[in-house]
Amino acid sequence: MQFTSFNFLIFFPSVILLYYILPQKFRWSFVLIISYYFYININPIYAFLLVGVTTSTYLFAILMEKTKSDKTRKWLLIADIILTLLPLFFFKYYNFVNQSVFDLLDYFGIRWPLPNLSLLLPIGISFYTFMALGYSIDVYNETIRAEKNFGIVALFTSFFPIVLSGPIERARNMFNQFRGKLTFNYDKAVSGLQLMLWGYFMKLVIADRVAIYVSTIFNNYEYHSGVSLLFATLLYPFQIYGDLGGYSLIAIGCANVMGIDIIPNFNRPFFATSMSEFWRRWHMSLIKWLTDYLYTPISFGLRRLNVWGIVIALLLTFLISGAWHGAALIYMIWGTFQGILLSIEALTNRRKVEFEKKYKLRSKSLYIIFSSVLTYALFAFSLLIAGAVESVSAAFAVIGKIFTNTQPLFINKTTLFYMLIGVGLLILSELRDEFFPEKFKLFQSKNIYIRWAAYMSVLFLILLIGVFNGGQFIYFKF
Amino acid sequence: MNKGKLFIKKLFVFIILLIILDFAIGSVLEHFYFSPKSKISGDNKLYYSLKMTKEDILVFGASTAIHGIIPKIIEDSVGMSCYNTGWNGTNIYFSNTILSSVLQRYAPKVVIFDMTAWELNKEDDDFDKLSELYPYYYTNKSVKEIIDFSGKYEKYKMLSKTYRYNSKLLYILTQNLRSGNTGVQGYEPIYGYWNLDLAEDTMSVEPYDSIKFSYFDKFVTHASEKGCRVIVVSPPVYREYIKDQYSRIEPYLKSKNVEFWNFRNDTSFLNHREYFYDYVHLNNAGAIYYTRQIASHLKKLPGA
Repeated sequence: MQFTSFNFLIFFPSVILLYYILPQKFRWSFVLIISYYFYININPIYAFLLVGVTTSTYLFAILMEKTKSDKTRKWLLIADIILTLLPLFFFKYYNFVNQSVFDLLDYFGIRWPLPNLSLLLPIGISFYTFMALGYSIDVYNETIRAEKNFGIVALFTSFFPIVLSGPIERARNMFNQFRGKLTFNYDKAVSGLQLMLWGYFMKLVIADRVAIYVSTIFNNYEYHSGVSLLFATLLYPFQIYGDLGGYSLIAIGCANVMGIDIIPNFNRPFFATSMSEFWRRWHMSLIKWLTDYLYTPISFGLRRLNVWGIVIALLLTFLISGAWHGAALIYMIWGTFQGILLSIEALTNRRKVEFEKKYKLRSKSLYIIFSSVLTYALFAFSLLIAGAVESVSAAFAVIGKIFTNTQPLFINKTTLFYMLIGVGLLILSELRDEFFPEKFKLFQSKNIYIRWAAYMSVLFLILLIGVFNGGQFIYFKF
Repeated sequence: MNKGKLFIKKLFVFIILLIILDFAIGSVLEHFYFSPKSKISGDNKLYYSLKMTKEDILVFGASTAIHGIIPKIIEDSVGMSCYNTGWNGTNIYFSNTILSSVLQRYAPKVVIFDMTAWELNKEDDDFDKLSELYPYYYTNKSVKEIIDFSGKYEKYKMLSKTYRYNSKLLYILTQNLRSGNTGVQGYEPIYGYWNLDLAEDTMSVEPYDSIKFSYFDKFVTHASEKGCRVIVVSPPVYREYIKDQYSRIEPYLKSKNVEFWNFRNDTSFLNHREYFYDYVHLNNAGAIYYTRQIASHLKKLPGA
């Protein structure tokens, strides 16, 4: 069941109604049952994996807490990590590793073929695996107590708003809420519905509309001009932002309506003036996870190497981030590329800051705009190798054509017209939030007429120009 | 007041307001979509195709039809009136719905179906273009049938009057603001010519989708039963990159006594950039040449 499906339109209000009718003490158990119903609805067999990952995480966490010896605790953590990662590796990386090993052995004249498997990647596996791992590491680091109630751990890994595509939550944020009083909170419910509404706008009006143009161009890139390819390349980040950003808002909104807080996932990323700032604003829950559980331990371990320790940590973290996105060379290249960009920034940061200070550049809007545009363009081009087109060679063919072919732009008037409305409104809204957070309030206006007019306008824009057959969310495949 | 009760009360008022606004906005859109101006001038092509056509020859198909076949040339050559009902991005589901609506009113003498090589292949977005028909859901039986068939929740979605005009805002605006008809009897010319280099690739031949084929069969059988002469044409392409796609359809068409004119291998089109806007769509010059060939075939038909 997708957030954008008609089924969800019936499912969610029914769940909320029953949730608040039930006595408080049964609410978390009810959400657990509903979460499994939600997940089973996609593919029943994969729910066993979710149960497996949850059970091993639960047991190892308790064992780690009970064990006194540091050495044993370490081995328990390693065993837990291996067990938790096993399904993810099997479903996501088996074919990739199998093929790579085969190619390597074949190079040396050794042929030892194992069959490739044609299994569907269980939806959400990358997300709940990371959540489970985060919990285990937190217990190992003693930043959280092991949860004794299996149901609470099971709800954490399967919580239906976030199980499919995040945000990647932390046990310390969720357990207390699940154990606490899940009461109706008027303000939270209203803000949840507001987030859901804007999330639907981002997905249906922006992401799926931009997707029509972008996929027309990228799916037939051989037949399109360099100008069209450049335009599609620059539009693609809006598609991804609308897709995952929209999904995240709907997920956070759903949880808010139930009185549960979820960490934010995006913070107006296209206003970032450097790649490091960009990654503090984009897919924040994943980046925070990678920072806490990978980057920080690695850079701490390599602290003797000073700045080069940071560079190595950055490269490794983003290489793993690339691998998390997909088992293909394109994602590794994308991760490495991001790691290199961030490393360059880390190495030149001091001189950059001095230069900016000397010429007071941070107060010059032209410089800020230039930096934002450059960051956006770098991200847009990096996406070419991270899924926009089918392969690395296709990405290079696209880049080559962008610089060599000057044929006119492919124009689809209808798509461009609706896309302009959606993207334009998004930019205006983000501009307001970034630079005038206290002005021009619509959803947050104290005047009920303005507020309701804003709700209705967005709702009817969705009905009028939304794309209702745009397919599933992009991040389901991760 | 209890916060929960206040929330429910406000939600109730919001939903009532939403229903009222949906009806009001939907009605305004309906008014402009079906404005008298567009009905009379034929600017509303879909309305004209579904409810007003009376021509002897009707052309059906997708973008290759709309940009490839010029009714005026056929009229001048054959001496019968002609209209092109083609619609961008559509497929047999759409064409069959238009034909069914037409046949409820009258039977054209000739029905030309412009069939691309991938016409009967299964696509993810097979039913997407049916959204063009949403405004006719409650007034046209054939439209209602196909929309209900396209998804189990479609009939519930149709309850929203505004939703029926989803993605039609630009159309409504342009229809009501501009003067004159851009298309000529349904034909929409495109100018410019194809000048990109094509990589040497071929698309594999895919199996026909059984549901689509059954709709194609409905199209052919229904028209034939009503006494229409059915002609299937395969439009020319810049380069033939799907081989043998029609070999399976030809015996079927023969068994149905349907004319099949295949321009796909026509060397007067293959690799002739001057006739193409892109690798599958003819430009105006190509359309003139293509339509003249169709007209010449039409004239040779027994009893023409």
